[in-house]
Amino acid sequence: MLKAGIEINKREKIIREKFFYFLLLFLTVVVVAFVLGMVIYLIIKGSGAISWEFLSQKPRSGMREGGIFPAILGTIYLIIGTLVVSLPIGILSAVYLNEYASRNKLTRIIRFSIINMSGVPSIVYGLFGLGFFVILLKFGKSILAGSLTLAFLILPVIITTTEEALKAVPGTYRYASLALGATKWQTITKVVLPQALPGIITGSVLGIGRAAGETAPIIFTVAAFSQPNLPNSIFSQVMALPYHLYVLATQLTNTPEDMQWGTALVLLMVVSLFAIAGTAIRTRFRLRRKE
Amino acid sequence: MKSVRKSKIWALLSLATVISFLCSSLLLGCSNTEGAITEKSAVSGESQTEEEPLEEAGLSYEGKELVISGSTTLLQVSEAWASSFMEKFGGTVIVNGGGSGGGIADLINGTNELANASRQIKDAEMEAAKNAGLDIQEYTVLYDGIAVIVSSNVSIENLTIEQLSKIYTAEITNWKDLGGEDAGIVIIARDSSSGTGEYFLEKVVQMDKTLKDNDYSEMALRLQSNADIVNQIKENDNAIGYIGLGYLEESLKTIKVEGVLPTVESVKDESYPISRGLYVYAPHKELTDIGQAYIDFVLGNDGQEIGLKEGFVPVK
Amino acid sequence: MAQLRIRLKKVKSFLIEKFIFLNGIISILILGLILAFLIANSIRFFSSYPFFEFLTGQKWSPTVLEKFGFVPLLAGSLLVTFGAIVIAMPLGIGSAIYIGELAPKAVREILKPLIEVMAIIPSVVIGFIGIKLLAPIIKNLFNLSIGLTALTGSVMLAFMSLPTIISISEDAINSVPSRYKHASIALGATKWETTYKIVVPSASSGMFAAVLLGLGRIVGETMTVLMITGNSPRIVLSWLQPVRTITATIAAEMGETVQGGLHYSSLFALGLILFLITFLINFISDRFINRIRKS
Repeated sequence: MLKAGIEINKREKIIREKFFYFLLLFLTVVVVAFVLGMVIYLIIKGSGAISWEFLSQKPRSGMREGGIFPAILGTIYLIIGTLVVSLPIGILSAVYLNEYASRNKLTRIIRFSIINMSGVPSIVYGLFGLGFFVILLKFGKSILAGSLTLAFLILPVIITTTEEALKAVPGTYRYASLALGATKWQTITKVVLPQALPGIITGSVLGIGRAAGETAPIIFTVAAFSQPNLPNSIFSQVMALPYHLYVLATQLTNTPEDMQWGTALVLLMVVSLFAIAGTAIRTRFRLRRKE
Repeated sequence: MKSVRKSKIWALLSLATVISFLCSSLLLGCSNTEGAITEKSAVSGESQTEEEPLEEAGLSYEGKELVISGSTTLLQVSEAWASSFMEKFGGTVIVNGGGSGGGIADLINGTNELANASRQIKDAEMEAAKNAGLDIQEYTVLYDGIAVIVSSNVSIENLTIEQLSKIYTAEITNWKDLGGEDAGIVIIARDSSSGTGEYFLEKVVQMDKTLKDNDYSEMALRLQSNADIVNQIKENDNAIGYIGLGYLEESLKTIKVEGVLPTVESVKDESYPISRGLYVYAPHKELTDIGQAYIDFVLGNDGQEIGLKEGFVPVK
Repeated sequence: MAQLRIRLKKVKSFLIEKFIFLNGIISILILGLILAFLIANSIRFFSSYPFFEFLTGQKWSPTVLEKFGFVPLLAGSLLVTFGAIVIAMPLGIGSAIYIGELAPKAVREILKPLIEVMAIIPSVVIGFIGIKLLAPIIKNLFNLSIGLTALTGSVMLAFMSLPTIISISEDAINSVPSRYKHASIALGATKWETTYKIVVPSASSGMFAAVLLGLGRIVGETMTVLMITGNSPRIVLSWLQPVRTITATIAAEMGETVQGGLHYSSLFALGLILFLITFLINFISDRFINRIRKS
């Protein structure tokens, strides 16, 4: 009797275990199917539109023909502008945190601010960029205003990855350099930063990936509906890929479907290119450290 | 040893930046010269007699920039104006949406030079402009009717202004109350930045401003552009929306308002009840050469013809 | 001469240090600047529009009736957010447990980069796919007139929050000391019993933080909801109707407002509220994450 009871109990347990195992597996499969489904569908629908002409020509006939070259170019300009602003600030900020800061309240507040900056919704950055850079500082809707807004947005990414890289530089390097009579600043620029370079590149590449895909911060700070020519200066507006996709999808009638999907695919490819490059550099870097 | 490696990496990095810069400007340079070539051929192809003066005026605005923003009703036609203008005169004309309110706000905030609007400037906006030290000039560039469109499954053919008002304030919520099938009405309106939305509100929902407390029902979907409304009406059922005449296409089911279909003719002879002017606002004194040239172009024969081709009614 | 040089050097290193310090606190400065700017611009709204009416007002009609009722926007945001979390939580935590505990190593190596791919898809692409793919499906599935609903937004936002939830939950699971597991298995518990009686409870606070951070991502997301939730400022309790969120309201209206006007100011007030909500969420989740690190 008792034995049979235990048997049943055990079988029940096994069934239950199997059930939960498959439930978890099922949940994972749903997630995977969702991602793969989306990406593959995007590739299938979009790849038809992608050609050299699509990538290298200006839009024609009310953006219903031709290519998306100005949008790609505008995104490149924004990326460069964003990096020029955020890279030095981000690196120095990480240098401060890792090389200078002591473990005190201020440092804790800094870290908390960084975490919070990465949590601030992108639309709030956009709102701030419009009110502060575009209107108050009179930069107008421009590459400058957009780059500054995006730079603020990706600063946390750059700071955290750079700091991680700085942390990985062994302390003995610093002591050796200092013992040889180098100043702290010399030690940082000549010894620590070069060692941390792969990590810094990773951070900037990941940051770029984020900046290139953002729409909400650029709608009101830089993105133009139509601007087919080379921008005159950093005070010019440019087109940008994510906003162009938004325009094609919601602001124009009768844009060919495959142009829309093609733009979405190009945007995804640009963003993943940076992400893949960033992760690849990081992985190589970590492997080398382990060796 | 170490510093050699460091400088190498930095050099590589900066080289990469420089190369990407060069590549992009080179590519653009190429596409620019391409553009220049087509410009010339377009000019010479046009007409022999006009060639000389055009050539003279041609590309005189090279390197200058004109920023336009505002009404999404005028978005497509502005884009057509801009590209035709750039082909003829050079320069860069940047066109943006944002809605009529957005364009006028940009003008006051000093972030554009010309504002497209599908409604007239409001007193409050005029005041704000004065406070900002702007003297604003109005140009009527085209006439437009606001077409009421429905999903293809809706069987209604004709609506009165009063019925439309009741639909948009959700007093009437079912198509059967209007003689259609038993289905809830999906109301689609524009967001508050839209001039079309505001004109429709005053003219139709508030019945020519007689019912000033009427606003779009909160049940109304608020979309960001004429195009978005067209797309959503096409793809969904039981929906009603409104768009500028320029966005009408044959595949859309258009409603007669007070028995009249919106067409270029019915807007011109004012028999279609919901029609209005489309405007460009410019700062009177600060208007640049290229801005003035653009306005002249738009009001000229070529500009008006483009307007007609885009489905609007010329002012002349 | 030599003394001068030394002094110059000292001044230089002092300046460098100060400069680096300035950069070090840049995040505080920027965050402070944003907060101060939001407050400064929303003061006009809060001082001239009755606060109580703002909090309890049921109409958002900024230009026609000049009524700034927060309730419809809050209701919209809550509805979409709640729906998204209900979808994302089981999927995210479930797959995190699977990836972290049960999956064979080879499968794990494939799944982890896939989750990272998910994290980088731009929100406008998600919105685009939502319009093109999901909205028609939802329309037909529930036999609706229109596919732009709160549910459409919830599903796509759930998708956007999944990478955050999965990767942080998985970190929490991985940080459970392996000696716990070994002890449990040594005592005769099965792998599954170990997972749900030892690992999951130990990682629960990390999972909570993960869900919170996912929540932060959902609350702040703009483009996706602007494109696919229909934006009607109604107060409803159904996921099958269009709604308007706080973020979409800012995005849809901030381009049209004149600097210094009440409407302009009201959007900054919305921005301030969003900022405070995400600040709170980050504050709490940070606490939980720190607790894991300490233990």
